[in-house]
Amino acid sequence: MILQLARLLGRFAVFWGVWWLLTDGRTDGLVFGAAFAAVAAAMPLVIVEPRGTDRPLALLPTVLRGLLLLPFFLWQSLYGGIDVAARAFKPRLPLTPTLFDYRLRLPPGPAPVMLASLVSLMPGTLAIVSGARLRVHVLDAGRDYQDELELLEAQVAWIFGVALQAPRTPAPTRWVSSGPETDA
Amino acid sequence: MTLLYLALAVFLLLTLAAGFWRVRHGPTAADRMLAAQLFGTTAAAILLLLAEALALPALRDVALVLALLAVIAVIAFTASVKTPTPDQDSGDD
Amino acid sequence: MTDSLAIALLLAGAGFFLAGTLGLLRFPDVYTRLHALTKADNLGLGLIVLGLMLRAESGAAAGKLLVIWLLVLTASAAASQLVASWARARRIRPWQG
Repeated sequence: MILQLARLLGRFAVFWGVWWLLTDGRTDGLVFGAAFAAVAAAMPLVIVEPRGTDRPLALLPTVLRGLLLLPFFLWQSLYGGIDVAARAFKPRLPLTPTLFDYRLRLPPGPAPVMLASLVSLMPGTLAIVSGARLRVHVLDAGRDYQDELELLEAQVAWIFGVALQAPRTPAPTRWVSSGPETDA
Repeated sequence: MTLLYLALAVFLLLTLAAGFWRVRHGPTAADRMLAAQLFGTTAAAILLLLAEALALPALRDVALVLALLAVIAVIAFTASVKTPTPDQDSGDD
Repeated sequence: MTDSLAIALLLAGAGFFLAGTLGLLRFPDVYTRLHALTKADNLGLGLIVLGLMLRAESGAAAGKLLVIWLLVLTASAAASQLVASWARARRIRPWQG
């Protein structure tokens, strides 16, 4: 009960802060902002969680932890942008793309989606969530991405305050090998 | 400074226009959907530059709305656009 | 000093937008093009936002610019995953050399 109240207040604080910023720091609209932030903060109490997510997200600690790791993500994102820009500018297009599966250790819910989003900002990788796996498309097949992905996954687990589990799927397979090609 | 903002806005408009070549030529519907993404980011940047150049802070709100609408466009696309030959194999997921 | 830094950031941002468009036009398939758009364009917007933040009239205005960028970033990450999933569900094969 106390925990629920704390989470409610945490969400309220985040939403009200965003409102304040979006209204250019004006003070005359803050009352309206408080009303809307309160409604938004109460939403998770009304909406039924999808199956598989075992508990509601504590938004404020998640946001604060995310902010702590923001410099790292921004740095990686800068590197990722420079990497892909360099490839786009080079006349010979240095691309050797491939696709592989990464077995998730994160529990289902918002955490894997966050991981996929972050992976997509990192140099040379693009990811989508596919069940208990992450489908990762990479621009440089010659590199090993396993360690980077594991590090990122651990960071996302920390941000969301969830524990990593043993992978729930068998060993990864490379699915791009043969078969009919669609124009791409 | 104002001149720089305007010049950059025009430059971004040109990159946006060039990007529409891809929208026209596809070849897949997914390539055309990239337009929404390109548009969302580039137009947001153009509007933020114009907000500063023209001293019209309200344009920042336009940038925000536009960027969010771009995602809604992508959601609508992915939810509604069907392939000409329906997939027999529902995938290996 | 602040001005020259702002100018440098704005120009660099525009450069990444150019790279994003070049990637969109030159890269061989939808997945590689997604790489170009999600990384280069978002970085370009981030740099332009940083440059404009240096010139913002108030702290709140600067914060708002940052929030706009973070929202665009989130939105764009979601959109790129949707397009990639869509393409994969339609069995659009990745280009391989």
